Amino acid sequence: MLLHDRCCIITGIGPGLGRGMALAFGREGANVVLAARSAERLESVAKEVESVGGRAHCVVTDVSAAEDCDRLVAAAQERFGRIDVLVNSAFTTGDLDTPIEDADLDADAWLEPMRVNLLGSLRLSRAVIPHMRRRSRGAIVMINTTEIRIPFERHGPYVASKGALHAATRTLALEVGRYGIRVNAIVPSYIWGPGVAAYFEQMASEQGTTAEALERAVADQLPLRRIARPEEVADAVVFMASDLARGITGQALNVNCGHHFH
Amino acid sequence: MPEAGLLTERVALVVGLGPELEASVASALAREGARLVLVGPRSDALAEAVAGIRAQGGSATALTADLSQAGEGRRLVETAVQTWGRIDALVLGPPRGTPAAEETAEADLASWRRALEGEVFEALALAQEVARAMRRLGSGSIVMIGSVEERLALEGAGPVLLARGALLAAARLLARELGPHGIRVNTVVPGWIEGPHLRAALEARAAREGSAEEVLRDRLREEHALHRLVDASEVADAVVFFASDLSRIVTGQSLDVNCGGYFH
Repeated sequence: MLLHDRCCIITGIGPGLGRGMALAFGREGANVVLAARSAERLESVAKEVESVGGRAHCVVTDVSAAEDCDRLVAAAQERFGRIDVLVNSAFTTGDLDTPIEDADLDADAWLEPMRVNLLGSLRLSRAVIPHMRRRSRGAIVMINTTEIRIPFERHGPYVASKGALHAATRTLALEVGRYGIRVNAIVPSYIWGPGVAAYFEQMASEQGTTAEALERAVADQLPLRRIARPEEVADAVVFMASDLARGITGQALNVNCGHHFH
Repeated sequence: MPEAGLLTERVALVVGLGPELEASVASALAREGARLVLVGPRSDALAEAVAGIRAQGGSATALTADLSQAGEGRRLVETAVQTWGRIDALVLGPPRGTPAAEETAEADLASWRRALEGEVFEALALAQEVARAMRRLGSGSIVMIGSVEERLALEGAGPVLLARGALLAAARLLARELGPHGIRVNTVVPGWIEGPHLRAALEARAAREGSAEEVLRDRLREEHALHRLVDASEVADAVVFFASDLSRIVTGQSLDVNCGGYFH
């Protein structure tokens, strides 16, 4: 097993990728610390993690709140006695209809993605570093987005926050590499889940077609001719978190059915 | 009960990895349960490599080949398929020609053309044959090995750099074209690996600058985020990832395994 007995914190546990990662990590023998805002969601994913042989511990967390981040890391250390892996997956898109030309740059539409996607990820990373330093090892994985390479119009707040996270991932890799801590990004594009399904439904109604037809059209543009499932993206995160990737830091790996190449 | 490996029952063709990587990559693939066909120009070196894999409990056969000969790729693939029934993975080493002494702007391009054509087209011809076998299977993973010289456009690399760049582009094109057939194509880009190649480069630079090789090596280590040079076994484990189902939705990508020597 690739993560046997490793204590792995995963934020942003939702119905899609977060759950997929929790299960993949559980299957690989990890002790998984699940973090999200919804206690109910956490408990249900925790049960699933245990059913595949992992151990799970839930901590209700809002990563944009400093005290929540500290509490999450303390709880992980307390429960499992160490912290091996942090996966920063909690995110918000903010308002996806925010053209920069008209934007009020002081509005929450801009600040919220920065608070969650950038500062939340960095705050948690900062909190785990002392624990990882003590053991001279650790892996931090940032879940980023294809939009850092191929942005959409009107997504400025989201793209800016994720682009900043991408840059900070590298700086952090430089700063903590000497302590044996690796910092990398996984860069997915479309992932099957309620979010993408809703997006297809909305686009389909706007374009007078069906969600299935739209999904087929998107899949047909991808070299692998399908849309990634959460568990497939999760397996690349397992790799990056595991010792198989012990020589890799500061990199950003596209996991996207060939959506674009890097 | 031993745990199932990431490549149990898979057949991997390992070609042209060179002294720094070959033993480590073969060993890592075998550790994960792959059956290997090791391809190289010298039968004595291959016999030694095969013996090493068998000694660790793995399955391997050797095929001596000169890929500059027309039809060699086809013969290799046919033999591999006859032996093991299929090819699931091709691990293809980088072009290894002699670096050029002259600057690009002043180079004798006729010699560059010969070097470039030879290595690029040998690799492509083999990839074509392997892709045909994988298409029949409806799946497969091709893993190319890139190079730090190409990533950083290091001076003096000459046609070798061009050849490696051409294969990086070819990997992406193949990924786009072969994806619909269930075949993935990715590139692992190793940083500076301890071995004869790095030793020679450091010796040359030390002589040029009048400094000690060990001082240069220490400085190089410090320039890496992890403050060390990458080990061949670490590159090998990234090859395992791309050959395995862990990367089943990853195609057309390149991944730098370099202890943070630079970021791509």
